[in-house]
Amino acid sequence: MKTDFDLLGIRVNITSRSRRRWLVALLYAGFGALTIAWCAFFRQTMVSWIILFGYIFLSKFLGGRNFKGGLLPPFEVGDERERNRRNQAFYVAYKWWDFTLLPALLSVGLKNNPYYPAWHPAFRVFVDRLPFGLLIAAGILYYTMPQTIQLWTEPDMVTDVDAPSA
Amino acid sequence: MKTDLLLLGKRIRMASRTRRRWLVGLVYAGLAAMMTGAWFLDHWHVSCIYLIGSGLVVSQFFLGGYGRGGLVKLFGEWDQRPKSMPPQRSSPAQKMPEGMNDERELHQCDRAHYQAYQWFAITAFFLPMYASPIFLERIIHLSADQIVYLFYGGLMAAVILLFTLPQSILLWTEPDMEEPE
Repeated sequence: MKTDFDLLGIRVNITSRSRRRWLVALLYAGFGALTIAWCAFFRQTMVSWIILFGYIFLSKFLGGRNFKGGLLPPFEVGDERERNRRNQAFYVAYKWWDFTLLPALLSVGLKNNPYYPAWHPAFRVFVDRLPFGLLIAAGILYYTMPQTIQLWTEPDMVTDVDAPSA
Repeated sequence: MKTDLLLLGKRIRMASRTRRRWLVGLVYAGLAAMMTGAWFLDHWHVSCIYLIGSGLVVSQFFLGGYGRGGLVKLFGEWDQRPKSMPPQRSSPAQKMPEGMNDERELHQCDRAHYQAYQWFAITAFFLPMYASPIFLERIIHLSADQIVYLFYGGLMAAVILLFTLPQSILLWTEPDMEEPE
């Protein structure tokens, strides 16, 4: 895991866990803002492509998977300890991901019911759009949660500068 | 992992991998048959609840993992340890309490979840299709109703798999076990 990253020429140190947690919160705020913009304003426009690139940029910044140069190394890289930590993060992510897929299923279920045509048109528009937003959220969480769990849970790191000299 | 499956009071030997693979195959064949039957029954309007429940029942009585019954021991001993403490290294000779996973089994469980998680990329792959229903309407020529059914069925299958896939991977990949003396 990286101990710092470059943001517009400024070195940001993320050795402390609290800083990494702030970073995770900010990243998800970014993902959330992009998703709301997509679902509410730009669903059928070319701007949605820019939003898609925004997702990819943030994911690359986060690292993991096959991405090189992100905060986390690619998943298949590392020694046994790192692989064990990765697998453990996936175990936790797997359980939490249940909770994103179930609301998505329920929201599609709302459309697939015999009373749907009788509902108020405004509510039907909401029901039509709800699965879209929830599935996008599920997709984002699918691709990012194992990495963010690792960032969130890894304890404070000791760098060469901090280490006491012999 | 347990070597015997207790079914209606009868012990069935499950030490061999071939038998475990048959069990996994039968479980998924049964679930697929139930989904097909439920589609013809009520287009998954009410039967959806029973189908998702069946995933949990299968975990409880056959596969284990998320239920105390079944072949795979209950997942989740990592959660019971203090967060700040690294996992304790246990010696191979150390006897684990009945029903508890040793460290090797815990790592296998994590690994199975890692592998299972990769399979759900297929679900995530279908998301862009939902984002552009025009693609489904014009290229695959599906009606609006058919699109809803496609996603409903796909998501339901994904949820059932969520409850059963890691255990199935463990049962499928674990080599033949030694019979207890």
